[in-house]
Amino acid sequence: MSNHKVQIEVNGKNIEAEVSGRTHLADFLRNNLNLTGTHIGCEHGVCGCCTVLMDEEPIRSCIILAVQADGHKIKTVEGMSEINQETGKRELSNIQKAFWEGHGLQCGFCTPGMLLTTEALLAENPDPTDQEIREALSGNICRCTGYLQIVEAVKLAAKMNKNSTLVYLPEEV
Amino acid sequence: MKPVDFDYVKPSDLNEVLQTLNLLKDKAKILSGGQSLLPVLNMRLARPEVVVDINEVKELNHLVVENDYIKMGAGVRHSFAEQSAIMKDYLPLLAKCIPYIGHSQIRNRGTVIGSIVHADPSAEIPLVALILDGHLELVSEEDKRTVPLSEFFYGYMMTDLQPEEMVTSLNIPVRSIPVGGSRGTSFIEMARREGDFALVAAAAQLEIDKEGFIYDVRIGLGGVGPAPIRLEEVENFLQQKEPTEDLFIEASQLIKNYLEVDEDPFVPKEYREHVAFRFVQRVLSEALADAKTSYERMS
Amino acid sequence: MTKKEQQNVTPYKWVGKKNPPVENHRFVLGSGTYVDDIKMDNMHHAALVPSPYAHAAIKSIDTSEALNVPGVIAVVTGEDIVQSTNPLKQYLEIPGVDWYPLAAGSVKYAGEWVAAVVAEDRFIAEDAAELVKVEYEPLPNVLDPEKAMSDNAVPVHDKHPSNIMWQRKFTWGEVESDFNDSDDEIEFRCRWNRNSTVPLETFGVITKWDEGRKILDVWASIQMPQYPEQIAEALKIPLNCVRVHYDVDVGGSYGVKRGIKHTVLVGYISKRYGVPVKLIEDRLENMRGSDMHGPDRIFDVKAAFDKNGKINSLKMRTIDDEGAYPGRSPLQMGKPIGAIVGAYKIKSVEYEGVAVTTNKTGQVAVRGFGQSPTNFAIEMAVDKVAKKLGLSPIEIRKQNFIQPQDFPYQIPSGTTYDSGDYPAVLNKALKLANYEKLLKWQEEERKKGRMIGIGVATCIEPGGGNALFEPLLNPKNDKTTFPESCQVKVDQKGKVTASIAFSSAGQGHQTLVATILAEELNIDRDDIRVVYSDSLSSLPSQSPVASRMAIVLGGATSGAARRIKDKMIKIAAHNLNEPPEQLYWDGSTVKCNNNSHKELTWDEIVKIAHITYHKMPEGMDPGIQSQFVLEVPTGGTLPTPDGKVQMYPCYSFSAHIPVVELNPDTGKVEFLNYYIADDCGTVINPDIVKGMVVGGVAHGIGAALYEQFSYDNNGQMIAQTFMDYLLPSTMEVPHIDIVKHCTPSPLTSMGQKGVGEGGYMSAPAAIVNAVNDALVPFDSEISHVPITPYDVIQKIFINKGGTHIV
Repeated sequence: MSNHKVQIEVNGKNIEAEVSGRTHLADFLRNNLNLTGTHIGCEHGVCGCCTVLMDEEPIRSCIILAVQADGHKIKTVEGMSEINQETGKRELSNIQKAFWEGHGLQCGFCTPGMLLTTEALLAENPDPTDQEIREALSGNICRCTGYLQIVEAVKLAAKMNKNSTLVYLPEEV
Repeated sequence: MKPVDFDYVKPSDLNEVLQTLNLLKDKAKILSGGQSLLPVLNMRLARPEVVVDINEVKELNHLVVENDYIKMGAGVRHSFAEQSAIMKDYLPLLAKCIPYIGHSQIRNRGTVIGSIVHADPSAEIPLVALILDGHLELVSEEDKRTVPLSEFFYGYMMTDLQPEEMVTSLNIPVRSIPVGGSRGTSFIEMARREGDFALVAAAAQLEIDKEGFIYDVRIGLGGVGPAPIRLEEVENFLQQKEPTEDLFIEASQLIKNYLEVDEDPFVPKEYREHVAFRFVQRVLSEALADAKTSYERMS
Repeated sequence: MTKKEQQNVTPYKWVGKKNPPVENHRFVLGSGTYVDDIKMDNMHHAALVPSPYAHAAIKSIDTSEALNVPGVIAVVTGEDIVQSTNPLKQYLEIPGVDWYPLAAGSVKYAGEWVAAVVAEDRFIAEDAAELVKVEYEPLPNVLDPEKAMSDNAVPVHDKHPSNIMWQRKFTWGEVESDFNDSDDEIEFRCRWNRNSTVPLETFGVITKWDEGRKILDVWASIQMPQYPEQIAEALKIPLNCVRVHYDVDVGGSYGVKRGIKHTVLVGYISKRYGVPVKLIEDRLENMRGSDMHGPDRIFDVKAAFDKNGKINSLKMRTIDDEGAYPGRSPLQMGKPIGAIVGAYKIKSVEYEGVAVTTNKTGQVAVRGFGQSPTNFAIEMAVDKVAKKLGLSPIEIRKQNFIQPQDFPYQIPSGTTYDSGDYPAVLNKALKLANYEKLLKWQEEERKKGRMIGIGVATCIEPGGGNALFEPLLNPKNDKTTFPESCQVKVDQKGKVTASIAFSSAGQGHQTLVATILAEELNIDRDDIRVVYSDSLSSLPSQSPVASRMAIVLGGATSGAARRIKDKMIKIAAHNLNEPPEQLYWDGSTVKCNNNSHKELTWDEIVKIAHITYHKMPEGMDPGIQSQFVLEVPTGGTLPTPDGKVQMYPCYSFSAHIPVVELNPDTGKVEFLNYYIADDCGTVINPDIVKGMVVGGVAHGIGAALYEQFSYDNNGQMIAQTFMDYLLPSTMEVPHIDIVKHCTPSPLTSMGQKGVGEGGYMSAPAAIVNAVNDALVPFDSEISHVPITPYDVIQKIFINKGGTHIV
């Protein structure tokens, strides 16, 4: 049994923690940091629910040890929205707004992984075709939607990145 | 699905890795990309006492052209290799097969050499490295040896790698395109779903001389035996001939004599045979088409 | 219908309009609360010891080494459970088939739970689980359902010598004479192999026993009618000691989240050891040991018809392999009785169901509750009749459809379909697909050697739920009610909160309730809160099964809202000194017919009810609140002795036209297009309806082409991981084009019907028909699902004498 001190930048915050060697990153985020938006679906690297960004790249957090994230930057779904310092309200990213508006989800379990994979896709390819979206998301399984509204939501997010006034969601309380 | 308890070490230089391996042998497991190791750790199918993380060993991150070889260190990840200009210029076939590996999340972590060492019989990289005459540098604390891919695989997911050794580099010879001729490559595979392990994979590289004849051909299949195979009979048959569809059909017949496909609880033997015949023919035609396109591009 | 067209025809302000579902906000934030996200002090974790054998006697269990692991507080075995709990509920009358959370005496399938280890964390629990030593004596097993039916078969349950758990033949109408009088008949067998809807979240549950308060608190990812009742019964505690918390987001269910054995296990541990216990299945436990597999059926079908294509009578026999413990799953042979003739006027039907037990993982309810396999068999029969007569799949369907003027239409098994316009819906699908042109294109492409198939399926989706398959399969069950409820209150500030009593798994129930309340009360949807209560503070609920919530929860919500409005009118009448009949709602203001100066606003009435009580009519309760418990429409009667039954109230309908191409190199079935025309009555939220239809198709694609829980000859499940059990991704599920049609139901508050299962009930039938259409030039046919690339290659090449070597 080995315990290890790690320093990880999680959602822009520097985290210092001690973790056992055998803890994978998804468990660490969920149990040690209480970032329960990262979900665990299969624990063998197939379903994509646990996708997070490590140094801006999507990875599966169930098949990387937490200690391997030492010295790296991790972004989870909780880091996608942020508090507006002026209004004090939490503001969603365009991708989150587009998935809400376009109903690119149902039960919400695969959603964080979908959102983060989309973020990496749009960073690389701001205007993807349907086919490119489907290819980029092919490692994220969804059992609810049949993907149609997810693809539409990604396209909407791409549009919103160019023109942020496109959607009208209920005012956030 | 939580791993057994193990110690984790993260050496920062190669000597330290090798010392650890020498000391612990089978009890240690090297962790590089982890995309094959972590699932089996989680399922407790792998039960190491020590996991040796080589991600901080900087000397393994090389991807260079050196002495007419492309050399790739054990730290090179699929996504890095896929995007590298060296790969596109010198090893287009390898670059072509990488998108077939898993999904982007897997390619961002998984390594080229990890895929070879894991030795899945239908994996993309071992097949391509095999037909491009790749060889591996195997290093232990006391020894260093070079093993061609053709001698590395022993059987189903078994290799020549010894417990105290690690693969530090994959080296593939650079081939120049025949003067006035062209080169074409193709990689195809059949997987049940996008990103799954292939049931059958095929790779080919075809060089055409300035008269339009086959100057050099390399072709291989994955998924039809315990390890990827190179179709030397097909290569010999095609050598110096004029490439035509009919010729490729004839060539595909040759594999009938020595294709030995294993039974599998999911996939009937006859199915793999069918796909193998089809793919041999198709991968050659696609490589030829690619050669024609690149010839036109050059002239 | 386009969004604009829809807005033009519906008289509604909120219903049927595009409004982003309210649940989505928490899900895009990543702040949904799933059961594994819930933590509590002193929480312990359970890990399970699975059986390696399909059938074996348990000789001994040695837990001592596991108990010595620091952090382990208990190791529980089947013997402990048997002593302290009642067996889990069986819906069939099958004495001797005792089902407990842990195997007792013998294991009956590989993966069955033999012991549970309880420790302070999951790592330790798993470490210790490996140290539990179980001595087995392997027994012969039985895996093939037909072999299991024979007299000399090994019994799965030694106290129930026959493996046949239920068998009944129903005859509705003059089947024999209809067969004799018909010009011709077809006969075939088809096979629906074992799959399930496999949510990405596994089942999980936390229980906590409070000795002082005498409450067992339960948080679970559950979708199950009578869940609290079954927990109380198994744990031998009063029902009002069980409090199931419904404010837990469920990460997908589609019928299968029914972890009753899990809950009883950890409930027992919590009570016995005094600690909160969490059990989150890992994926391996889920796949092999969760008892969440779906129907596994052999169909033998005969259809009698005339030369002109009129289908007169149908005989169907289905053998369902229930696995080791039948539970509720055999009832899935009962539900299809309510739609046994599909969309067609077939005069008479003989239907026989046989439930067989084998040494495999148990089944549970899966999306559609048996209707999807049955539709697959019906639609295959219809195509076969067409083929034999040289008719097109469209002609045969139009010839046999129940016509719009026939509704309400009673089918031979006694169920009345509420409404529909099948020809109109099919015509819309044909138009969407540009069908005539598509056929010509297919002909041209076939000449070039491409293998293109166009499938047609026109399927019924029963919605609304009912428990009448319970008495139908076992007269000792006399449950004839399947209600749903909604509680609504208007607070002192005039804001509306509704409370519902079950958990949601992505169906959008908060949106459903908020939309209907906004419509009924004429207020802003996004000012309404909809909260989940718990099983002790709630009114009757049967959970969101059977595509019932738009129908029954929607109706209950309308009912509760109307009571609120009635009360407010009464308060206004008293204060305006007018009879209630003279008052009407204009927006959120009560106005008077004969005096335009007299009016009271929403806020004024609220103030009277909550603050200025002296202005209230005499004897009226303070505040504004209401509740409504709605019995399912058409419910409340028992089946007749000859097995006629009004199964569900509402009947949605859809026409699917997938266009597929078979790859000659690989045998892969690739979608070129997928067209759907769908009629689920009045749409409450178009985004949610679209998601349900498309998501159902994705499950159908999985069932038709990819997913199977396969077993080897030793009863070992060989598709235990997501490497082998193939869930379709973005690349396997194509773009889908949908056109809507609306035939309102006369039985519901706004004309709505169910829509949660129709995609899944139609897609496998349509896809199989499409693949078989592509195989027509090869004079070949596939009659099982999933259809693999190996099947396709075999049909095209290998059967034809090895011509594949080209």
